[in-house]
Amino acid sequence: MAESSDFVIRQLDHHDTTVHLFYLKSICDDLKIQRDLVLPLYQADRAESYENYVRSLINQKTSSSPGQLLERVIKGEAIVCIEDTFIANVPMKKPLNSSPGPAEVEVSVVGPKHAFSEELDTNMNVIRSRYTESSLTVERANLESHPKTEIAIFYDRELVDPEVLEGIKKDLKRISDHIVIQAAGQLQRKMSPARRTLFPTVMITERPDRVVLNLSQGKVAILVQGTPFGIVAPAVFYDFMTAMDDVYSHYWTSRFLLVLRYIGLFFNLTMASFYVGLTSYNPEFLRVQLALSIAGSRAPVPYPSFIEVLFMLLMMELLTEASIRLPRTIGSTATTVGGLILGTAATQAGLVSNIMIIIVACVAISNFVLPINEMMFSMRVMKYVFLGITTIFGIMGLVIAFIGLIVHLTRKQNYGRAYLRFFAENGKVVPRKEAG
Amino acid sequence: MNRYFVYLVFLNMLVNIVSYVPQILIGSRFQGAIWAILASVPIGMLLIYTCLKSMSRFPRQGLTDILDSILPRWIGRVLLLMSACQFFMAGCISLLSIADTSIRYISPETPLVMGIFMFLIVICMAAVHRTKQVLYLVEIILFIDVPLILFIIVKAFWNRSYDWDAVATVGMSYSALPTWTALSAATYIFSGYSDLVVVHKAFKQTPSPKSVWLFGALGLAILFASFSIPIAFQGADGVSDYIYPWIITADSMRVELGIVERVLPLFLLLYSGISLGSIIVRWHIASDLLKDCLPSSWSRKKPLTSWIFFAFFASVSLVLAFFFNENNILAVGRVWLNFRLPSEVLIVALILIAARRRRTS
Repeated sequence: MAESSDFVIRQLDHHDTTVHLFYLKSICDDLKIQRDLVLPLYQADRAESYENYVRSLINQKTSSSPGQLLERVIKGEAIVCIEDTFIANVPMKKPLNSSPGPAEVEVSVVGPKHAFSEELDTNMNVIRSRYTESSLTVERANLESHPKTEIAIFYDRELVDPEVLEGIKKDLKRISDHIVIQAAGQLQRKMSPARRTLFPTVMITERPDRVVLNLSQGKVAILVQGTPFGIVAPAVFYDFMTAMDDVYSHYWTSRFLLVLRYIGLFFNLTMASFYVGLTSYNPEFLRVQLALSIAGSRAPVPYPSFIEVLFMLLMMELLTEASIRLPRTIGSTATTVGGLILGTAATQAGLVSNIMIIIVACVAISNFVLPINEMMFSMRVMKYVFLGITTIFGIMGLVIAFIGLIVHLTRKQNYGRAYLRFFAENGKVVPRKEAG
Repeated sequence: MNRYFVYLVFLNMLVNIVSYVPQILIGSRFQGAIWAILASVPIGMLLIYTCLKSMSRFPRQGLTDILDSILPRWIGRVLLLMSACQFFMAGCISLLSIADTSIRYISPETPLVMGIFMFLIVICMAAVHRTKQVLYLVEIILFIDVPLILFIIVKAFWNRSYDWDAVATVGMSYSALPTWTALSAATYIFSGYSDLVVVHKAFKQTPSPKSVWLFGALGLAILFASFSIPIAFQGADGVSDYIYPWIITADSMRVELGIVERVLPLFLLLYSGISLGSIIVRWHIASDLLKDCLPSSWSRKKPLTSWIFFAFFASVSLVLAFFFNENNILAVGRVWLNFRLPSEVLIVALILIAARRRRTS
């Protein structure tokens, strides 16, 4: 420890008492140490009164073993040694810039504007002040990673299903990893019993109001130190289709938006496959005018429809990926160049049909209608599965694949809860035992 | 949980079109189909009522437990095996019928065996799971498909080609007494309740028998629609020229203002969804009954057991698909329907006896 340049050992002498202070300069608040630990020593008349004073500062049991003390120092506490007889650790952590920023990933129109911050303590404060019930329980724990990551588990002990809570805790205990866990998504992946599942079984959110709503529905929330995203578990399919605005806006408006999202989901999954199926297998399904105009716009295209679709979808995915990671200023250029110029040029060059451009745009936009990111990504992948099956088996394959997807979602279990069922207990308090 | 029972019965009513019920009824339209339809409603309602009333004495129990309470074990096992075969054949016939039609009319370039294989993957994937999950699946399939199917049926009645005279001509032969085959085919509409032999284990409460009136009315309406629409479209005589009268009927309709102009593809795609749901339920029940037939030393929980059953089901279906053409399948369907009615009555009678014995003891 002494090799580290930010480790400070200070010796203070007053009257005939010697006090040693040990702390890490980088994460401790120097001013606070001066004010709360150094000054009182010189104001105290006797060693015992200073000792009592220090005792009043301690809010946790004093640790005694050297290993534990070391851990305390790393966490930002100062160790006070009075004459080698009295040892105490006092929290002196300098708070980082931890004010919550505006929500950027899940934007709400009329809901609360702030997201979580990156500091666990601040986030606990946020949740406590929104969820003013004495039954809210917080458990802090460390993940078995290297270095250890601090997490906090929130639940309402009167509403939570004990089996679910037990399951989540067991999953958290199971995690042992040699890399650091720094994000909620990473934790989610480690937690999930099925390592390679496509569909998310816990929800990642940055909105305190969503976490609080879910807590009041009897779910469990996990916050990770160092990230403004929290995990809410267990989540079912419907949770991924709701935005917080659904709760805040008028009944019919929110129903309409919900229906819109399902339509968007359907378009996103099947539009490209329908194009392939209808142009290559069953053009007779469409009315004659439409079939002819599709065939007409496909006239200069030299290859089968699935190559056309794959090419355009790939371009669209590349554009999406590029504009996510690029800095904002360049991002708009990339989308203009890619979207407008490439789209027009590709049609004029006879590489893709006009209708294909419309379909790709529709697929891309309908994907962004889904309010939760993870579901958006799952469905982005899923549509290629559909496309592949349709390319081989035609429209019939698409219908069977669609039912297969529903089968897969209904058979999925999430902490004993069905992932997809028609009238889910969404919005209601989750019953202790699943009804019926 | 009551709504799931309604779904099962309703699913069975809808799926009659792919189970050769219209073909058989139309085949005997001058030989007692009218009476068969009219008689099937009270028979079906009576069977449903008796079954529900008696089952309510065995909360959360399936057919196995009920049979064990009155019969020696080995007779019970034989009956279970028979019942499982019934359910398997029901699913298998629907599968062959829907796969044959959809491949013939939608993707004729796909070989039949490959198309069936595609269906089988999804069916086995779904049917191997727990009863509750199968029920959730059925619910979602129905909610997606039923509005559009109702749209097609309503549209058919609205259609200018719907010829009431043809229906009246067939109606004139009301005096003929029904044949056994026609009666079996007509009562098939109501046989969705027999899914209770396994599904009852997943229900917290037995569905109340009061809902039987709903089923009576619904069954009569669907039976009338599935019998009369092809007759009205193709004429009282011409309708028997087709192996799949419903397919031809669907193809004679068009949606003037829709994106998909022809009704046939819409109809077939919707019906492949509905039949998949129904086959999944039937095979799930069949495999569950077969599991009960196993010696008790065999663990029920083993997932391998179900997979062996489904592999067996799938291979039998594939073999049938390979050797049979649509005429053979129709003949098999006819024989199966003839056997179904007495065996169903037998099972319900046994459940009734068991319920009575339980009350007196």
